[in-house]
Amino acid sequence: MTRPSTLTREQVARIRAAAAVLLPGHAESPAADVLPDYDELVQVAAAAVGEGRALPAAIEALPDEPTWESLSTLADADPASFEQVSLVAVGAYFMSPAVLASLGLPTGERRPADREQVVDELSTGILDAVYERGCPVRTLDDVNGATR
Amino acid sequence: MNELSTSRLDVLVVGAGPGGAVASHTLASRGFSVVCLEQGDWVNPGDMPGTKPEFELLTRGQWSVWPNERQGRADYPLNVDDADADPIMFNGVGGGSVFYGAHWMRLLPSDFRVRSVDGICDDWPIGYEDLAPYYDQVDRFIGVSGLGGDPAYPEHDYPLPPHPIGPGGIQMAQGMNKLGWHWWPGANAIPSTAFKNMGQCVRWGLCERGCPVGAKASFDLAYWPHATAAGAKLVTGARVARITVDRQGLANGAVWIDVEGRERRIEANAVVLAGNGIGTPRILLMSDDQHPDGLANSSGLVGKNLMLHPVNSVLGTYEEELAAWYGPAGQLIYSLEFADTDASRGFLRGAKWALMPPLGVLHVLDHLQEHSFDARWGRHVHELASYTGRSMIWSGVIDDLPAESNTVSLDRAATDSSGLPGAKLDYRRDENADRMVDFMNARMVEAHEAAGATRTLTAPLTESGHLLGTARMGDDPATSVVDAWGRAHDVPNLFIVDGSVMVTGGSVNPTATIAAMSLRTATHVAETARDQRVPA
Repeated sequence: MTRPSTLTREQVARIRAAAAVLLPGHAESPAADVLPDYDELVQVAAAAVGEGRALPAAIEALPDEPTWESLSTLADADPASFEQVSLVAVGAYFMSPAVLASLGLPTGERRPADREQVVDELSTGILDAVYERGCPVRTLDDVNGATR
Repeated sequence: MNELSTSRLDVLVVGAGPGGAVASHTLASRGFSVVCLEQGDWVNPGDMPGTKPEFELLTRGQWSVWPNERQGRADYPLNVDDADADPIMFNGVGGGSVFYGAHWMRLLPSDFRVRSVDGICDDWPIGYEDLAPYYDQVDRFIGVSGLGGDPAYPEHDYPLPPHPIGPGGIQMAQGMNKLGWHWWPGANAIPSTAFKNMGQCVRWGLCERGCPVGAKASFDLAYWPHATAAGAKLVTGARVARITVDRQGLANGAVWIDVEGRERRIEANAVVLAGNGIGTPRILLMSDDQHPDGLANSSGLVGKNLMLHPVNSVLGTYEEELAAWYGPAGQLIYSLEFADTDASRGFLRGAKWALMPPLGVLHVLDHLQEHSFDARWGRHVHELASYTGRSMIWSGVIDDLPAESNTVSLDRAATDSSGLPGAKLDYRRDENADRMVDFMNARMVEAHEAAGATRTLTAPLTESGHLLGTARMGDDPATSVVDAWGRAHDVPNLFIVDGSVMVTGGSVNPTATIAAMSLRTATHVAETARDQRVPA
């Protein structure tokens, strides 16, 4: 994993507050700000996108107490800052194993295919219609005929 | 290697991407002394971001496919202020194939004869039959996985069995069958079984971001180990400043700059350029010691006719479980239903479609990027993300017609880390391409709906890494840069083996064609070496 960034606790808290609005939770998915490991994930996400000078400035542009309206205003007025902060907020959220599990997404497994799978898939006759329709483009003979 | 022999080489190759790898291997295998200079470095597959939880964020920064975003030491500035596209590029061993999706497609017969069949552009000086044996040889060498018998092509087969098309591929195939549209199991330069030094694909599903386990036939893996075993020498961190020419007008080597910034000289009897459609014209235009307009440029066409293959895409979400985390990505299936001209559609030429799984949750969410704040955030993020495993993306390679006004030139205001000029692109997508994009987007929505999609989201047009056309081949030196063998009309011992020689772009991914043409050119160089004029 990427070495975590050196964002201050206050900077991380500002991102978490924005994430609570942008990612409030839904059905099986938890809200961003209740994830126990969210602050650590924000540090990794910030390092992965590259902190530079732009990210601290973008965090500074966040409203002190973000609301749907104030973040919407920021997205209109300063889209570069909003996109940068929201990328870190969303990226950190979807790194969470708990969130990925809630989406039914596996993580980090090697999944070599069984050699019989493709045989089974294609032996159902699914390609018969393709053969019956034939060539959808001009054939080599068509092209050579046009060239002569 | 760090030290080079001071004696003159048989062949200097510039650029270690697919074209340079194939040429180096082919010539070294036939006993020629070959050195390849590559400005970038090797990439260790284990360093690729795909195995890390934050991989999607890494691919938007230090592992970005866009050089201006990545800003690596080997990347030179690309000025796209006057361009409709910001192309993908990778400077390193393997070149763009490190980040390619390995969709392994041959040009269609009509792609070589656009003037004859459609009355526009120019015909190539070679045809499908000329290239077919070389396509076959490269397929066998790198271990392409696919199913022979596609009725869209002249008969050919693949050395490795196809990958499974998966639940998503089956669902879409059924939809395409309902519509009566062509589809075929994907042909991928990704080993479906262990092949030579590459392991079996383990279906990480991140091929376009670099395979983290080295199970993709990028040319650093599929060709370079064999090229160096055959005796080719590969020098990394070696940036070519210019090709040098003797008094007789023959190329006699290059001046290059090493990682310490020292200017060095290498001599050769022949030079093979493989910098692709931006790098190659950049080097030719920088080679202005005796040629103020650039080397091999009596036609004035070096850097002209840039083609970039815009890529359209439409995501569909489904209620059925599609296990969309399975690779390869790679193409699960492809369609050539709209790859050729049908004038009734309102444009000429066409696009190949590839059905791919998404590359991650953020990739899926990118499809909301142009929505309003209220339609993008809150529950909308969660709802769309919940379909990540139940979504598929059709993407189209839009044939990009050549236009002399689309150019690569030198940008002397922005220099690389060696102080050499960057490249400036002047590129406008034409009306034909715009109409084609609209048509393909609409048909892709239809295809998803026929397959049972509950929702479709059309993505903004993106760029490809298909860098083509800027040193085109032809029989007439007044209207082309190289001949049918890739030999520069103006410099008889200078050859070009990359996408820049393509006369038209075709509607498919070009790497198979670049590799086949490089093999054909290098074989010709070897077979005609006895007659080759060399510098005194």
